[in-house]
Amino acid sequence: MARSKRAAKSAPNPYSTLPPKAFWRTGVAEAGLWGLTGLWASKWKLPSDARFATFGSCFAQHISRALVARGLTWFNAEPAPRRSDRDQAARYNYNVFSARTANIYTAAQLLALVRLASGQDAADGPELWPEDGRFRDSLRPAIEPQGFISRDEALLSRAAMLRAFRRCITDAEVFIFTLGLTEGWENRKTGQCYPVCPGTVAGRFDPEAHVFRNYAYPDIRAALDQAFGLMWGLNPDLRILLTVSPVPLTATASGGHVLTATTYSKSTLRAVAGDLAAADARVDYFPSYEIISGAPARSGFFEPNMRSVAPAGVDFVMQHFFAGLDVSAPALRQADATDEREARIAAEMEAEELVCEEMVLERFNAS
Amino acid sequence: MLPDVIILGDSHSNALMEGCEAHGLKAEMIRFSGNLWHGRRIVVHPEHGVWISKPKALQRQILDLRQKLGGRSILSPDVPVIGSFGFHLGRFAPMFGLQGHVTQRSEFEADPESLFVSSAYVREYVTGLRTSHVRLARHFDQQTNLVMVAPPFASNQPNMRTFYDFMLDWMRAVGLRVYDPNADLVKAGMALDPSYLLDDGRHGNGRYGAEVIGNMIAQGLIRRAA
Repeated sequence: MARSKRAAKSAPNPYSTLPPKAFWRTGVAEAGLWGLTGLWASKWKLPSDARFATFGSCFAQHISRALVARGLTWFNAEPAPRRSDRDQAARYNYNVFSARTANIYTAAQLLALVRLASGQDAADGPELWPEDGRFRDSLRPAIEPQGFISRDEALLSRAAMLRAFRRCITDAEVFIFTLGLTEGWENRKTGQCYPVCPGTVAGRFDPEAHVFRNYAYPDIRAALDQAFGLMWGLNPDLRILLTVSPVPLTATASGGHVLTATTYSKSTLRAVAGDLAAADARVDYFPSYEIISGAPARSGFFEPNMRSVAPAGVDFVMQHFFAGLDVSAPALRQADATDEREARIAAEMEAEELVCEEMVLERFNAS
Repeated sequence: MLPDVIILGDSHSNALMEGCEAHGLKAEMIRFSGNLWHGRRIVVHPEHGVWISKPKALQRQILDLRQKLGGRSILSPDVPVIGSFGFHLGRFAPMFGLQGHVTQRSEFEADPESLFVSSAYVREYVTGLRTSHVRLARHFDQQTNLVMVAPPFASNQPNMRTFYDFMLDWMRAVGLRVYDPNADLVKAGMALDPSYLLDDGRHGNGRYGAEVIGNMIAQGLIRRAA
């Protein structure tokens, strides 16, 4: 018996040449959480100034901040106007994602936005929700704290967002998209999908018009296939990096327990993301979900509510992200001309003020 | 003898001073550069009315004028004040638009690279940058007969127009009397005729000042002392 065991161990087989990371004992159990290595290696060698556009659910916000902190090029196609107060910009949802889309939780939402941005659907099609004399954009109901003062202004702002979103497709090298949920709400008649259930953040819930959807694997796969197809129609070289948010559902309308609903949701999204990455060299998957939710972390990266991810968890995820990212190819672009223009304007203003100061003092010249 | 009016403001005060002279008004001027207004160096003072923390050379302006006023505060009910400060749009309008941000539909549609910004955002942006100026004007207005005068509208840049109109509406909404020279001198949607401007293209000249003061007299906003 002992002899046959030894023989089985030494006989060549597909597992005998695998690296330590391929085995749970060496890859996880003995390595421990802080010893995890080789979780992800980017498929692509990117230019050092590669532009990264970031969209998706809440967790995607961490990626943009980390990119900026590391000195990489986070592509912000709809920034706040220069000299904006930081708090004001945040209240109006500037500088959160690469355009003011607000959270994109579902694949259906992403497809809807891509169709609008690529001109497949009319930009004024999605609903505007009147509220106390103002208007909310149903694509992003909380994008402005008080809503828009008019229908016209809401549509102009939406058009600006779509313009910027399109630029993120055409001008970025990498489009990072964090999948958040399988659950969503749609309009039964028009098919419009909503980022949140009408009547929660804004709008009014109508049981005749609004219907719950728990998108299954085929729905999500089809939506992302369509969305990516349209995006590559605009930019064939665009690389798409998928992640799945590790943040559990706040609530489920599926009728089940929120814990099992979360598992269904994340598992489905994880499976779709993995299959898309396996199917196309332009798509990759980064395992932020596994890093936070996997057994090695023992749920230790969650805050006491067992939902929010603690800053240490975010940092840990981003360490693995940057460890696997390859931005060693030569840069594509020259320095940003905007910074030079800003410096020139500031210098002109300063010069004007100096002249004024001197003119004031000249009044005291007795000669 | 008391002056007919005191001009208190920034670099746009010169033209108003020339305008007063052209109309035979006895005027005194206290002028600080925009930097000093923005730096919150100009404050309300219980004795002088207006004060500047430093330098002494500029404090002298105030003390000298008080002497001429017979020891009165700069801000007294006896001498009206023309306020020429608080706009300074050139300090933020170019920066606001640096990355293509626009406030009007026409501009958004004309430039495919532009980004529309809502009026609510513009309102908060401008009030955030100019609240201290407007508050100061309101303090002045409580102590004297103040008329704020908007600067010459030397640009037809649409963002500038939006900010300019907002400032006028805001000042009026908080109860300040505001004279808008451009309502009388500028055709709708146009910039001020260059013949009203100095070579720098920003400040009004003597002709401009004379027109402004003439209009203010005609509209009863200022008058010669009896």
